[in-house]
Amino acid sequence: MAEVKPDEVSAILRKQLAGFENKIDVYDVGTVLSVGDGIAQVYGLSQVMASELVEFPNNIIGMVLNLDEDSVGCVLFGDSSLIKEGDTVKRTKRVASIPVGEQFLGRVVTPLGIPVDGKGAIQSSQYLPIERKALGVVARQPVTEPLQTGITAVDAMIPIGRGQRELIIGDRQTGKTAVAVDTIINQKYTHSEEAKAEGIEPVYCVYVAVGQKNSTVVQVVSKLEEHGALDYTTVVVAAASDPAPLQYIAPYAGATFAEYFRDNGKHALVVYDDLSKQAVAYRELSLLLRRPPGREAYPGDIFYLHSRLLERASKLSDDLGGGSLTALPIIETQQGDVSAYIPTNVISITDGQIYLEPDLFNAGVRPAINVGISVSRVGGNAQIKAMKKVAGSLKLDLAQYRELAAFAKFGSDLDQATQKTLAKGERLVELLKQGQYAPVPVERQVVAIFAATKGFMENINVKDIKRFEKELLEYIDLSKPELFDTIRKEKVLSDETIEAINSIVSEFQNKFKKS
Amino acid sequence: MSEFVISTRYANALLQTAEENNSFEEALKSIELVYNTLASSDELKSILNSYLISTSKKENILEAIFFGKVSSEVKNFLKLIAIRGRANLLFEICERFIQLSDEKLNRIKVQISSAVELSENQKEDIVKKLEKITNKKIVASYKVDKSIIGGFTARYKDTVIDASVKHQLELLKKKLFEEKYLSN
Repeated sequence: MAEVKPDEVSAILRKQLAGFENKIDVYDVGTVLSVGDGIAQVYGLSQVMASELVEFPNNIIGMVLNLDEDSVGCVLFGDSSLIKEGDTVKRTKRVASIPVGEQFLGRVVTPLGIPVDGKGAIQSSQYLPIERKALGVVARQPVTEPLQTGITAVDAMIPIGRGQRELIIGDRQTGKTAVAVDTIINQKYTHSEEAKAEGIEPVYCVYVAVGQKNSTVVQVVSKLEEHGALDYTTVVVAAASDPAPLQYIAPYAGATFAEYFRDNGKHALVVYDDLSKQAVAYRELSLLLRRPPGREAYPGDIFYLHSRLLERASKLSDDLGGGSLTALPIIETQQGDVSAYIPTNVISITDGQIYLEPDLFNAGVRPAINVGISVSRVGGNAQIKAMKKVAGSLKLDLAQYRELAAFAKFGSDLDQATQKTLAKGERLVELLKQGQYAPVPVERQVVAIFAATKGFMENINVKDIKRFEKELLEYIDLSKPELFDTIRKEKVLSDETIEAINSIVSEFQNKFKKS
Repeated sequence: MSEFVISTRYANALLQTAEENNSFEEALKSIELVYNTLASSDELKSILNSYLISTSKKENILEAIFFGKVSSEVKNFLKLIAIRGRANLLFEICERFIQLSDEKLNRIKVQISSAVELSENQKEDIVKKLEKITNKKIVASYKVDKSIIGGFTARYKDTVIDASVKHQLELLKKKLFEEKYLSN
């Protein structure tokens, strides 16, 4: 067993103490007037700035939110039972800021940057403020690069671009987190060498868990790790047991972590899961701070709460490095009511929504996306040309199917054309079903949709569609893998490529064994 | 309306009146007397706070206690406060008046705590340095506090100048713990 020599110990201590300067400290203080419910009223602190971090005894940090004439209202990021009236409060002269950097990738942290995954401390030299003003118009450029989610329904009809805000909205248990997690897992490809060769830049992800059960967060983290996605992801946790102020700042902290990448010319994706819980936490804070309640008891600035958060998602101009920050906020609706206060607010802020419906979910359509009312305002600008070509007819076919879906129960009493549309629509819906944690690369999506929309699946039973797709793609992998490479590299469907796809799919069609 | 606003208004009123009549010094001394009396007597405070005692009774009590010991302006001031039903804020009003007077006279009260009794020279040095830093006249009060181990702390308004050994040890402790976390 190794021994620690005494002089080694003193040498280490001397080294650590060497950098320590002995100087007089000047700091500003205040006294706690009252404390309770996570709020402390402090007398004094006359020089304190709004949103500044202050230090309470027992290492509890608080943030100054209310600057009144004779007292200061602070929210506590810790247990308020450890603080008593008369305690001294010190200014830290630091407006709420957190450490950022690449060291946070692969880690699970609190909104203040403290790791909670037990993998050791994180050293960081750069601090960025949690609240930052979003960039102006001149600093941005339009969104043109795609952010591939790996979910066929989304990438085809509700495409997301890098720098866009796309809202994922739905009732509880409809698969909102699943869509977000699948998107994160699909970014693994962007970190590979092949992607680099094709000019695709890596996307760093931040997953912000607000007000969720700790067990749920652990599940998400382990799934991310299992699929190798944790290496480029930071997880920010403010669970349901954490005080409301932490839940309030968690999304801002997540945006700050992601902005580090955006401002350095890289690309980032941030998922806010979910903003409804952040709104509730902010409501709790505001009511305790005696701010006047508005509609549904939410404070008057609840819109500003979300708008300033989401405005930070942007595509920077080339002068500033061309980085981007894409945001996927999640909102939970009650009983499908999208005209409630918070959902309408966030819908008006984001560049599109993905609606998930419980009826579809229960009917087995998963992801339960209602394609009819989901929209992406960036649309085709964020798709590769190949996908744009095939997705156009997909959207149209599905729209026609939805129109006629009500007549489906009349079965054979309908005319030929209607029956054909219905049949095609059913097969398309079946094609768009996808398993969880199984994102599909864009070139395979293109081929699958091409096969479906050009009528190659007409004579296949609906229940065989997924098997057909799977075996078709495997067949191409075995006999003509360069087809996928071509689509991926060229990003367009040239006439030759279309010819090639046509021939290979017909070939496969003859070989397919129906059940 | 908050107590702070009300106390400030009354204090300002007295301040301005005293200035106009050139009796500011006496007013300040009288108010200090009232303040100290209230501070030392909980009974008096609770009587003035009580809703059960009529305003005229409170008026009489105040008159009886302070008759002849305060300037005439302050006597009328106390009467006014009692009549207006603000006797419960008398302590805060006096406090605020003293604060405003300090500002007017460019004075700051500093509480200096040291581990051992300071010599006259040391006290002078500290006060001189503080006067240079704050640019105001210092009114220092001294306290011996063994818990700071060595050195001294000077606290005025909301700022603390901490040259104590205890604080240095705390900073050292923090720095060592930081190193422990960062050295992973």
